[in-house]
Amino acid sequence: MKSKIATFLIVPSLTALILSLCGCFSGPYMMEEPKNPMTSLVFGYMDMSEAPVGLGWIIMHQLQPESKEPYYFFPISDGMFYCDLVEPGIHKFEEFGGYGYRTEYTFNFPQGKNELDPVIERPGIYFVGSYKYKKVETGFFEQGKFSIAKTDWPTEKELLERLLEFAGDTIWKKRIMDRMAEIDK
Amino acid sequence: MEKADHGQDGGDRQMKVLSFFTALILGIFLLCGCISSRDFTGNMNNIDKDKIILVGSIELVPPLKPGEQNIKAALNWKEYENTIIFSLGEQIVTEKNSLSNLSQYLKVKIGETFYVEQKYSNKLYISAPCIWIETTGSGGAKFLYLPGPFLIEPPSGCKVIYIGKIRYHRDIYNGITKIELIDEFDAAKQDAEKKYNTSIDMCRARLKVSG
Repeated sequence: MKSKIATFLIVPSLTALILSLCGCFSGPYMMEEPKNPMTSLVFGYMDMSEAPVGLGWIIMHQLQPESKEPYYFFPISDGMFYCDLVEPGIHKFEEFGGYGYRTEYTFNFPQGKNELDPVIERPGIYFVGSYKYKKVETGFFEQGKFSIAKTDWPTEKELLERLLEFAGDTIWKKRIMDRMAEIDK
Repeated sequence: MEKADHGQDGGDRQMKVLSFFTALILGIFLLCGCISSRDFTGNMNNIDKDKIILVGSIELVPPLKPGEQNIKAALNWKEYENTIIFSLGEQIVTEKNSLSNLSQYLKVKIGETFYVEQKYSNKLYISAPCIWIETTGSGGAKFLYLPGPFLIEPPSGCKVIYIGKIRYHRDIYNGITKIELIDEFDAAKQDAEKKYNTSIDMCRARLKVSG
């Protein structure tokens, strides 16, 4: 499974790089008991209602510390993206996209640090925000443009509730519930 | 285009074929009419009447790390390795770089002094500077975009013109945090005279941030 995804996405280019996959994608990805006590759960939401495709993938790059597997390929569930294997460090979301009919759409996040790029110093649960892909009007023959705007919905708590479905009986379930209780305070 | 992880028969083979053609197309794009950015090779004291030689360099701090550029899917990737691509001409180019328009641009090695022959104009612009950082699986390209444009006003009657060094500072996210315009005229003149083995009547035209 991993090799097929890698072939599809990166063989033409990122031959030297390996994606860190948060599990396989034959069904909804279920979180695992952390093998590494330093890993964090990172999640957010991208509203693609103005995009030509739904959210099919989102990739985050671990910039520091350097890693042989610096890319995180986030599982997606109806616009929500999440990954429970994120190591401490400085991270940048690089691109997202989706699959249309015989067309793959890739959108790059703007160069430089963006609001959703997490800096993770200690293990925990990190909500990077909810965002909306906004289409920018261009001329008929011009390349399509877009912007990304932060939105208030879904809220962190709403997404945490959705994440419970994928936490099973792992420690993540308790951590998610603790976080929800913290928000309610 | 089916997702490979759906496990369709032959998915791997299809993707490998796709990858091959992606690389082939990239190669064809990049072989078509690229402007050579090789240093001027003529006589520095006998430059064509309507031409000038621009001398300068562009630096990136910190420099590209080994493996940071992933462009080896292109047939002539070496031409773009550790290279800054930019437009030099009378017009400011605002178009974002893509693989299909790279042929219009000059290419100079990062940190190395260039000696570029250019048709004289009293206003010239360095615009759309960038570094081709990656080819993507979908056959596209990612660029590290650098701020510009810069205006050059070559003094009339001057044939060899030192424009200075542009030093771009970047952060870990590839955000450009600072631009320095550095004048190393004396060293540049000395290097040029050594390179061309002749004394050169070089003058200076300081770059100006434009736009």
